[in-house]
Amino acid sequence: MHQIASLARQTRLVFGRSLRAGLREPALAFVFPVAFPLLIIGLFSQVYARVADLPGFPTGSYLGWMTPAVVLMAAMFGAGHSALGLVRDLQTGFLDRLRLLPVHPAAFVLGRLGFDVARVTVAGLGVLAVAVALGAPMRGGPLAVLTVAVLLAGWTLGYAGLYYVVGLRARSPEALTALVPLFLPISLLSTAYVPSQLVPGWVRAAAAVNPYSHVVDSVRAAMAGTLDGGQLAAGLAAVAAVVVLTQVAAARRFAGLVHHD
Amino acid sequence: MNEAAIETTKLGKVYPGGVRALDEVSIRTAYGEIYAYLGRNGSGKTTTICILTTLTAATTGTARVAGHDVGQHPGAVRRAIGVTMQQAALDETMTGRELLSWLAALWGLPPGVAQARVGEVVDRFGLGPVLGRRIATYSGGTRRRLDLAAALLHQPKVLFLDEPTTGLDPQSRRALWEQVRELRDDGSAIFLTTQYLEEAAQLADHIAVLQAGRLVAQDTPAGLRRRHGGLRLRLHIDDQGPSPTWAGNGHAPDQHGWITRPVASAGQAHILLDELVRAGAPIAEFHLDEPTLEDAYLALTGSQPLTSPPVALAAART
Repeated sequence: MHQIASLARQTRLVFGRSLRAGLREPALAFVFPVAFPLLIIGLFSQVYARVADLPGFPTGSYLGWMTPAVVLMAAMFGAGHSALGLVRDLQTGFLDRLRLLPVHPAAFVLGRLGFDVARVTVAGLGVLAVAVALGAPMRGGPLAVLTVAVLLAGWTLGYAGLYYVVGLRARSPEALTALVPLFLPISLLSTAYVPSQLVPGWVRAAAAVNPYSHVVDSVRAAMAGTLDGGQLAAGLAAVAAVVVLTQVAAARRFAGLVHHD
Repeated sequence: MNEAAIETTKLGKVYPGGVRALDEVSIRTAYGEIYAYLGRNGSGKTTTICILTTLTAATTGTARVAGHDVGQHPGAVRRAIGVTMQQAALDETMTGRELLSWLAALWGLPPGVAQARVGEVVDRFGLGPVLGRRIATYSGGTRRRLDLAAALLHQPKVLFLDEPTTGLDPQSRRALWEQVRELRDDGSAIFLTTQYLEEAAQLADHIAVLQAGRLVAQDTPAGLRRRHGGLRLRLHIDDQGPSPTWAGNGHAPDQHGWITRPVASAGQAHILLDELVRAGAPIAEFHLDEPTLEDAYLALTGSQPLTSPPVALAAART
């Protein structure tokens, strides 16, 4: 019990450091995750507006269709921030100083991840609010917003894990930059921008196994007010699978790093 | 015998891939002493520090720091030691005050105590004027002082300083030496690595010379000089006079006409000078030089001199 209390206290201190660093570099921490999704909303909702007129398109508003994708895009643009900080600590040797403190190593990762999740969840809900203000239909109530927040937080956690695995392996900030374009194939090979019935068979097959599709579909159903237990379970399972996959690998890599060899 | 601050027995480290970084190193250091660990890059200095500070595990041998085994009780060792690494390891985006307060909180110090400790180290290292500025704006010397201040927050009794003055200008270097001496005088045990002979000569109560992972000597600076340096007779003979008989025997004059020759004692120097005078050699000037640490180092390692920052060298001669 005492150990859990001290881990919580240490995690809070690490979170505080991340928050302070984020406020010092607001462009990277707060503007970047919001700016790009907003740009995409502005461009795509205009350029592809008539796509919704295609026969077989499930909804009447392309803006409404793509909103889940841009909300989750905030996660993919914001999740790398804390991994970047950790790689910097690794490069400067600051992490060695931290290792010598009587602090549970997990606190150094949990505090950072907590900041990613908190920051991106706020950013993603902000993007959602803008999309709704621009006319995206939102028929779900507060519970729907909560569901979106949970899925957003989960996707951030999973995606951050990917950054940790690559960052701790490569030990260079450049490697993390190289991960940024990854959001593109993940999004295009899913149901994020175009419904399954309008894409070639191989893309449909890829989208069906892409966990991102299930997360997007769950957010979309929550917004439409049609989220049922099955769809929610599929979304949560997809998020959980990605979180476990990336975070377990990241934790093992971090443990190998801080455990003396 | 006093309690040892650091005690190792046949410490060895082989890195994955078979590189032997450290081989049977046995040392012993005491409280209230500066122990300088001297060697060039890659000789195993940092590996030793990493093992003694629990960051790396030894392959063979044992090490006790502040009475605790580094392998078995790393937590106890960490609480007893303060460490500064080769590069001042700081978060540049923080201010000095933020960094110190944050580290004090992570040490688990209650807020009142933490504040008092931060105040103490700030005073000790004169950091007050820069405390509110971001570390990114600090000079190299100020960073080192902050680094050292951060290492002292929990009042450790054993300090590890890995090349603490590398990259510093002469003034900062000397200021840091003074602060290290003060810490020693307060009773701390200081384990300091350096690649500068002068630094070891200036600071150390004991010196260990490390070469390719092996300890080649461990003594006081005076002891090292005596055992491995030896006296040298230097003399200058007027050009017109006859050459001394032993001049050709490996002791030819250098480009400025100086002849240098090692001697076992002042008595032997006297005999040689006597011979010269009787041979009619007009001796213009002669010196009997005390052995230097550099002579000792060269004798021990049979290698090139270590890097010598010119100003520090001048300081060491004064």
